[in-house]
Amino acid sequence: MTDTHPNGSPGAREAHGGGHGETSFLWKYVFSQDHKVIGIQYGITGLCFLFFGFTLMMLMRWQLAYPNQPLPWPWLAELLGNIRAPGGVLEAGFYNQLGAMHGTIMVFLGVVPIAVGAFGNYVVPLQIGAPDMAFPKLNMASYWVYFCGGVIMLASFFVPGGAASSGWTSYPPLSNIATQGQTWWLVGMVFLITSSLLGSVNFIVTIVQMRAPGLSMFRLPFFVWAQLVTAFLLLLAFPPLEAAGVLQLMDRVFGTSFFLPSGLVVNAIPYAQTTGYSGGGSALLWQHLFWFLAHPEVYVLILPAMGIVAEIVANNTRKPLWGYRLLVYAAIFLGFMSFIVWAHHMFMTGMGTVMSTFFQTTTMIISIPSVIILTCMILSLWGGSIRFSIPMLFALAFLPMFAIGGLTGLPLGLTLSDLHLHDTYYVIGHFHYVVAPGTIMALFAGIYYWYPKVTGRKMSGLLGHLHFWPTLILMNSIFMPMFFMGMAGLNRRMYDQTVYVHGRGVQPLSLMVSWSAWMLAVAQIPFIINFFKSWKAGEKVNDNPWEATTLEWAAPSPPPHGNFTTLPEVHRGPYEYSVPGQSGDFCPQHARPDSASEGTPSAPPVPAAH
Amino acid sequence: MDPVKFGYWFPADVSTHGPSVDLLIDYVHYLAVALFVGWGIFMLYCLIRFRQRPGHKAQYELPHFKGSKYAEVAVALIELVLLLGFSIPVWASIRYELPRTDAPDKVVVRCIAEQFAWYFWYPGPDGEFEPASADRIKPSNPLGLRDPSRDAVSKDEFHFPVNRPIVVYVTSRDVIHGFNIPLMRVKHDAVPGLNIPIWFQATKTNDEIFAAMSPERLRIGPALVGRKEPYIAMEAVKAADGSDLLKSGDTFVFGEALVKGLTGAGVQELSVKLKFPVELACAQLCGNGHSGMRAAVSIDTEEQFAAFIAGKMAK
Ligand code: HEM
Ligand SMILES: [Cu+2]
Ligand SMILES: [Cu+2]
Repeated sequence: MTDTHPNGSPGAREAHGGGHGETSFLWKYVFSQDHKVIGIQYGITGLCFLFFGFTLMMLMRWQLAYPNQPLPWPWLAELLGNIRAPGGVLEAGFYNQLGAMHGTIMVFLGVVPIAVGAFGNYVVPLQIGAPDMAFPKLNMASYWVYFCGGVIMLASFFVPGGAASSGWTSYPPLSNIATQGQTWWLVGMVFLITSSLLGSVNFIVTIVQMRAPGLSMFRLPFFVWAQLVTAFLLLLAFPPLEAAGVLQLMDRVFGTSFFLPSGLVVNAIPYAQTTGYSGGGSALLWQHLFWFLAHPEVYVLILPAMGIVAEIVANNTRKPLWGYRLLVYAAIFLGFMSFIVWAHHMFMTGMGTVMSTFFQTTTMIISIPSVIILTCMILSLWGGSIRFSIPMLFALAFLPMFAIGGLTGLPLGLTLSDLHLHDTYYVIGHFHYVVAPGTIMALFAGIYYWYPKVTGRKMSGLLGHLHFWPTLILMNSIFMPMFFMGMAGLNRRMYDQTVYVHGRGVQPLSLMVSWSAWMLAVAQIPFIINFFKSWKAGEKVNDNPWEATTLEWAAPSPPPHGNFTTLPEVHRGPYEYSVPGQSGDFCPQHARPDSASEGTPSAPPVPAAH
Repeated sequence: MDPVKFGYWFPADVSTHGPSVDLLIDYVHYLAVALFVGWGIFMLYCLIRFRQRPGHKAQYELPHFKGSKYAEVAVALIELVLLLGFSIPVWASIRYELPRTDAPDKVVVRCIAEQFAWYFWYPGPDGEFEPASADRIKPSNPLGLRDPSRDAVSKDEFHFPVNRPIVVYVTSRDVIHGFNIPLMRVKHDAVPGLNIPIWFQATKTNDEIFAAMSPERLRIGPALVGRKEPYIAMEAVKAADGSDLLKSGDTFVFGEALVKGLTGAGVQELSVKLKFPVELACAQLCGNGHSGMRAAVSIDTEEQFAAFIAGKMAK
């Protein structure tokens, strides 16, 4: 794995030699095959979906804070209409639609597209010194298939009965007997999965085949490794869910019984009488297929975030990462293990002792590489010269937030303690600490960090601070109370938690969560302003404003079609900061070593003006 | 018994196995907090000591941290102990050991969930469950028993005797539900097509729990209309016209008229106790009525339980 490949597959090279970029606006910005444009498309679309998914949640939080009270604004009730909000009060079925679609949109239309589609697409080819992805047309197809999937999901809100309402997990038989929206959800998922599969093949081939000369596997930035492992997870885990989705579609549309056991009685009438279904299927089969994807999916959500954080930590401590190889091995091991822990989501379904012993053991084992990754990143701070730039603040915040998310997974991974916590708000708190204060913070870090590469301008530091501090505090005041609510026994997916006496006991926390969530929306205003204003009016910076070492900074900002003015050659590892005996405190991967001493490089070649 | 409160940590526990569940949760959190504090202090220290400032330089040579290796090995060992010492054996015993042995005093109940109700089905004096068939289901025979008069069936009210092992066969006849009694640390999915036994044993009766429970101040509002669960008033309330709305000690259910009356009398909060303080909640999303899919749990004395069964048989 350590030898280097000649840069690029001939096909991809020719595509760029021929130059297909200079045509009309439509082909340049809409149906583009350039990985950078596609990355930006993914990023903007993903951010919109993230905001939309968050809006759904803000609506739900009204009902949870003020159960069965009309929405505060009449125009909002009017907008939702009488079916969704009769008398201004959110209807229970609509609440379930919001819940199911929040989860689906956040995971499959928001975070993954940003973490993989946007950052992966934009940064990976640059970091490996490639002119583009290996299969540019596949890349474009991947975006547009994703886009169609998103449109289908959005459209499903307007079909009779509304959108899918059986949770983002869509457990049968509930999902089988649900309204039409569920069929749309399944079709949408088939699109989204297809898109991810197209993308993952592309990433794997690109990273394996198109690295710059000299860029051996162990000189790859950790971000690229994270994307590589992620691509394998997507490639191997999604097909079972795609198959399962098609089976559920068959059940719903053609009356098969893959997930329907015999003898169902719905509304006190034998289901066979009303539908003529045959039965003989298994409701749990879906759960196995679903979680076989959805557990690796958790690592799809977190690995790219770790990659982003690793880049930013190395850059802002001005020293090499501590334990780079250990990090790589841990990420690979994590990826592998993530395929054999899935049934810890099913401890309460009645599996035997042997099965549950196996799955709790693998779950405890998988916590070890996570601890290693976190430890490496924290130890990397030691001996640094730490620069508190905006990206670094977000990256630093990621570490303790991810730690909370990871540590609270332990009691859920042991069957005995899971007995009390399973399906409660504790679970919601746990995985949100991983994906919201964790991954989302890392995604913000990445946006602030690579923004100058994409636009040639820096985002404002003042607005950055105004964004960071409230966001950090509010993320915690949203998700920390959830642990206490879950500990008190409050179940998740509840339309009205005051039904139970233990739910009433924690109702004040629910108010705190809701108000924090609404304030979190306000706290994003500085980011939105910053994001758009800096595009044209941000401070102009040079090609390498963070004085970083990896290859993306060798390209002009923004990189032209084909990325590099001269394709770089790589001479060293990814994080050669503060090398002793050198004048500057960083030594880019592509800087030529001075003939005799590895020590002082010649000045990094400044790319031609753009 | 200790006072029963509903706050921000574990709810009270009235089962025999509950303490070991809570203990493990506590232990795991000790480990988590220790790690988090350790990491946190180290991280803050680094952020301060190694901040960028004039004259300070990063060091290229990576220090060799022995501590991290020890910490990782320690974490692995602690996890191993929690796994082998607690989770696996205790889980095995609470999930599987009892239903197989023939405890003479055990009570066997079948629980059948449907959207959005819980049925508890007890064998009659013959100790046998009647055969059931979906074709016979009608309002007077909700489980479709061959001879409904030979068994006891209770809807949304789960009675069982204290201090005896209770074996419940949990199933569902439509979608997946979750059989969950937080105060007893009992949770199991009710999956259609599967009929899986779980068991537990209570240590306190309903009356003891009721006595130890502090009254709650319930917010009066539209959310209460249509609630089925009975409450006991802890204070007297007079209506706007001076008549008695509630007397202290009254058992009542919130209806539209009562809520209107209370609101009319300007009552914002009412001091009450749940008549059945132990609740059975649905833990799996099962449709629009999921959050209201609740059953009362009554932990009876032997006499109370016998009377309950007799009453159900008489119907
Ligand atoms: C930062 C803003 C966010 C807030 C305030 C928020 C809040 C919530 C809440 C309160 C629930 C529980 C609903 C219930 O149990 O009824 C929930 C569910 C969920 N959230 Fe989020 N969330 C946020 C971001 C995210 C992100 C970034 C993701 C994914 C990457 C995500 C994925 C999910 C999923 C999958 C569920 C469904 C859990 C279930 O089915 O029980 N959320 N969210
Ligand atoms: Cu249910
Ligand atoms: Cu339910």
